[in-house]
Amino acid sequence: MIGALIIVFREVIEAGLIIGIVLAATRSVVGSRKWVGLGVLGGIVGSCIVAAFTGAIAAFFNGYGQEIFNAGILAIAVIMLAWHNIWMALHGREMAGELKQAGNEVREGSRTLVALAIVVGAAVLREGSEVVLFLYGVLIGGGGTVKSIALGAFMGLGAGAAMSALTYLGLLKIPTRHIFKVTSWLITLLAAGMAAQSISFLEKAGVVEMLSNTVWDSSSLLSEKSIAGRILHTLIGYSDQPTLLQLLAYVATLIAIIATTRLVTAPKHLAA
Amino acid sequence: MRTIIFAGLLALAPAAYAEDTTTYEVTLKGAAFDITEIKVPAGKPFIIKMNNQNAAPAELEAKDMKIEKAVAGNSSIVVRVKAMEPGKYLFVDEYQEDVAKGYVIVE
Repeated sequence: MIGALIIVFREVIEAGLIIGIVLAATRSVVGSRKWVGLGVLGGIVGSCIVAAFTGAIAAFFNGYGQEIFNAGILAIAVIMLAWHNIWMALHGREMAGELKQAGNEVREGSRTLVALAIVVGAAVLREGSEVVLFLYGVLIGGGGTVKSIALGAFMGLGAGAAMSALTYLGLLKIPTRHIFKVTSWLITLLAAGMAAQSISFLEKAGVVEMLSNTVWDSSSLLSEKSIAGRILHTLIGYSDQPTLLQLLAYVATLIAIIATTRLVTAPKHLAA
Repeated sequence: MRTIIFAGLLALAPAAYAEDTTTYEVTLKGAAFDITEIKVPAGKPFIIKMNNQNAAPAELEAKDMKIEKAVAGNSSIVVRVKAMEPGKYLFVDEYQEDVAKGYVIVE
């Protein structure tokens, strides 16, 4: 039971954190919970589909289909996060200033909610398919331990949900005037980390081989696969053995989002 | 823009695959691997091919070698591993990691 709990919890940490951050980032947008819920639901359905086709996906790209698939999913999530941040920088101030009618807020807010629902769905999908495979294996394996493993798995899911709740409630403790800035930074770092991870999948698939030297090795200090390592990996993109290309992708994404945000907000700033 | 770069990278894929890398094969049956020690030369990238002869899916995991890949029931996967320093590196079927394990010995 404990084994199943740990396996499932390890897989849902990332999605749990992301859901918490997205909920906090969109807490003032009407309908945000519905969209996050849809994202989770879509991710779960997608997980089952991906799990069912694991063998077929693996067969693509000379056996590296899963890596390419993961790299693609992450790239989409990066674009969605970047878009959300830029959009919020552009419209967030207006929304916060209550200059717009409630109806407008709902309509405009929901556009970026779709992007974030996709991010949530992608996070659930990537790790969720492994949970589905694990549970499926337990089911067809039969034996008397099924009940206890299923219980462990549900407790793992529960722990992941608790992680979401803690992240969300923790972020809500931040004073209202700062929370927009904090969640924007979190989302920017999330995107940068995902960009680096997308590159790591392309490297695993052998698609990119340039700049592949390891920049540092901190695996003995903090393993990326430990619980703390996984949390930092999701939040700020921590990697214990990043390649130069991963580091460049990280920095480039960070700069791209920050620069674009500044660029779109600058004229407004002057006008005000 | 990013999509274009990504599409471009995909187009490069076949060229990158052409390199000559040694493949080491290991088979999972029940709760054990047929080979529990794979000897690999240091400083050279290599490929591990894992066959899963169980009906249940598995997940090949090796933290130090940065492997984490699902394997459907009765099928195979390949994973690329970068050049490793000499040492003994654990690999497991994550779904039964207490029992199904082996080591890659880099020397």
